[in-house]
Amino acid sequence: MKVLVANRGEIAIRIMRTCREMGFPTVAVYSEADRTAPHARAADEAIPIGEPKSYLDIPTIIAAAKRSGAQAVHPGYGFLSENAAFARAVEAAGLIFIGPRPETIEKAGDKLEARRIAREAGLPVLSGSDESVPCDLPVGYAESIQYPVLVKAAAGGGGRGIRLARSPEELEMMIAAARLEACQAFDDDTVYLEPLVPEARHLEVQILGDGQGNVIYLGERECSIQRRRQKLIEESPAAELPESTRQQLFDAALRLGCALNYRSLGTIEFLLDAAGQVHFIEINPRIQVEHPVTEMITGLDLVREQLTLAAGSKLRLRQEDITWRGAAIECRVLAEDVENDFMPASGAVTYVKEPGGPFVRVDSALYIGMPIGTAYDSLLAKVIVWGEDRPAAIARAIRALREFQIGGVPTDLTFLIKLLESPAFVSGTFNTTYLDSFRPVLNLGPDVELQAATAIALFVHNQREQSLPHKNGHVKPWRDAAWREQMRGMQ
Amino acid sequence: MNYTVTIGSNRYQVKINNNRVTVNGVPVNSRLIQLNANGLYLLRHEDRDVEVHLQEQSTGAVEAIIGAQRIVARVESPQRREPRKKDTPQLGTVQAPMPGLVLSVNVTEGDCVEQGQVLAVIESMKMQMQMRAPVSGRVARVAARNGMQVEKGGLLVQIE
Repeated sequence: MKVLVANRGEIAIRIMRTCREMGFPTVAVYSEADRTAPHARAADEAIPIGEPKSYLDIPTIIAAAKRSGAQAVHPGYGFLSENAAFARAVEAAGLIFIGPRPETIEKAGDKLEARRIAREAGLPVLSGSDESVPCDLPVGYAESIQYPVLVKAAAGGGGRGIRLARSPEELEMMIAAARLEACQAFDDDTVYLEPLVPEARHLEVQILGDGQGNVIYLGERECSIQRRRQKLIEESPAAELPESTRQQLFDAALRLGCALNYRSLGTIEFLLDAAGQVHFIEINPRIQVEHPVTEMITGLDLVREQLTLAAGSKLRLRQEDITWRGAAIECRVLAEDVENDFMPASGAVTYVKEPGGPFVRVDSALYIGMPIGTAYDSLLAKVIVWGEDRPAAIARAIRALREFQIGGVPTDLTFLIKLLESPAFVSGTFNTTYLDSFRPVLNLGPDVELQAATAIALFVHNQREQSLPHKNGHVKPWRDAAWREQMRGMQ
Repeated sequence: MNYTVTIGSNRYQVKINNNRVTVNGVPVNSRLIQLNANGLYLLRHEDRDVEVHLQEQSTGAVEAIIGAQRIVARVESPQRREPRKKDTPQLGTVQAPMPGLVLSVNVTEGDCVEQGQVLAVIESMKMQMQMRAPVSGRVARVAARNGMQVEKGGLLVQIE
């Protein structure tokens, strides 16, 4: 089965790696902005698709698949991965879409519809309007709502198209703002209201189904470490989670998966409120950024399962075949200026040294010279570690991140290390509001800045000395000394 | 050779004279050993070896990577600045290298001072800096007073 990967960056490379292991030829697509990107070279062949936003262009991607003779298309995450029209177009072209059926993507994509199905399947769904917010608010509408309330785009996802309203006065403005973002991002301005769950934890369950009546769960993931509703650290299993709650999450995810006769890989997202109650929020009908933590503790390659199921096979695993071992943590390394409110950076990567060692996995598309711009998101790499238990995994994650060196652009590396070291993270007593107030001193040691200042001054000094004409052709004394110093180490 | 290394809001005065290095007036046993031609160095700092990647940025700033920490600094040296500056300060002018608080003033007008003698101590960002006499001579003017806030470049002591 020849597979076209309709994506870029680390996820494209990650999918191609499994294809290669399974003996499937791969096809990459790349935009003008990605001419030098490594995902294009990770495939057996690569097809240029034009301007940066071409990864969203359905006819272009289908044409590339036809031209290359691919039999299947993997959408990755983001871009066209949750676009039912794309899944239909792939199937209409006689190709296999590696993901759920188009109808499932459609149901998951309409949040109001997903809520209805979840409620019918017996899942706990947050109260709130099951109807979309009318275009013109009736008199008394804003006053009839419980505050604070979230205004959410029905077609939204990935934390986008969400606004918080604290009072009737704010509601109208926030509805307008959410509509505008939803219209721009998803071409659909339908919004609905959902009560804000204060101090909630964000938990999700990975499911796998074959569309032939068989659905299993692969465990939960804790995704509460977020800033601007974007996940930063994910782990599995979730810390400090009562076993009864965990089972409740699994049962709920399974019920919804069965109700949808789910095919392929999917994620059911939940909120866990401060009182320990579980609430369904949405379905993600695709592979997720944080899927490796599940791979680490189950020992399964989730892309391999997707590829096997896409060929029409039945689920090869039964629920009792799934076992979980130890703990896994994923940290997202981003090109963002933490000290400047996580502002995305721009520039070029000038130095890279990735971590290694036992049970450390780095999924990245990093290379020296990699341009960092605004065309795509700011994810540079994911560092995923496994440990026998959570403390071991935390220690390993810190160790691995301390080895990671990236030059040329600011990153969140020191922030991630401070986060992993923070008492609330270590004790597992945090929720989605944790990063609102977490402001660590971004310094990895009292002497580091002094050492850097000294090294930088010596560096500038040496460069200047070297650029001066040598007197009588003699080697400069400092170079001589440095040479002797180096030779001493050699002996 | 004097270098002012600015990291965020902190400033470090690094003086390099052959193999002698002082940082903010404190002697340090430091030297830089080049490991390869791609920016990798070893900083032999006191009794420790620290691997550091050094690279000049397109902005002219210099980036140092020590472990996972990336530090970007601007570097100024009087030698580099001099040609551009019109009002070159006189040899005996001691100015504040950074905004800060005057902790102590050790001389009065008319005192005779030796080169290298500590004239005043200022503090900025919880970092103390000893201001030393650049030349030997007589103190003509003391502009700094204990507890006084000074701006960057503010006159502290004038020696003639």
